[in-house]
Amino acid sequence: MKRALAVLLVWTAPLSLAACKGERSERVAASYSSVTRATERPLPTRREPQAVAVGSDAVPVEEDYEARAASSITEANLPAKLAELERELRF
Amino acid sequence: MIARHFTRFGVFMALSAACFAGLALAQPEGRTDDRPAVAPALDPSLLQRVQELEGARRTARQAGLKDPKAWEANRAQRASVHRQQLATLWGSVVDRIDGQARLRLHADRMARLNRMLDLAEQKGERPLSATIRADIAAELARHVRAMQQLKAEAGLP
Repeated sequence: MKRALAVLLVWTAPLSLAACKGERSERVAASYSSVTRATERPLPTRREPQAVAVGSDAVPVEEDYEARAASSITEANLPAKLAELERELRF
Repeated sequence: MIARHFTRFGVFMALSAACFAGLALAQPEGRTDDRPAVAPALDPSLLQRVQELEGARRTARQAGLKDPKAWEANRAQRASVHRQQLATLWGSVVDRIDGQARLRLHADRMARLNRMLDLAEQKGERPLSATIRADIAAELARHVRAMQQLKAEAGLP
């Protein structure tokens, strides 16, 4: 009788362990927030690399900065911007 | 016996002290920085050429800004012409990374200065316009000096 119980225990132990492990992994997966859980989105399509300026096209010129200067310097901030630039020139 | 050891130790200490003193007082044989021994003098003809080009661009700008849309539309074309002028003026130094760094700094400053000059002229503020023109002249001279120095460092003609 004792021997039969021992054999039964040996056979059932791995099965119960496997079942516990499965439950645990399900609980862990369920505990992930929606932020950390991977979503099943399609992989992004491959982006074409941006054209890199080479040769003479890479030479920086004033025209490259015109738009930024026009948007950042206004009549209102002209004295402040001029003072800032003059500090730069003195440095 | 002890006196002999003391003598040897004394000679050793004297030699060590002489070596340390020599190292401390020694002058470096070669130059340790990569700057040229003498910074090149500002080339007046080069500066004049840069001022002429800037003057021509300023005149074109004043005329072009009467139609801002057209002025913006032909920006790429103006940039292309400007790049050709720079390549002619400075030669192969414009293809170097350090040359482009200097050109970038200058381009950014000139864009801001010209924008400020536009606003000052639109407002009719003559003293402010004069100040900005003086700043432009100073920036042009600084840039010419920087580019000349870079060419000298690189050993370019």
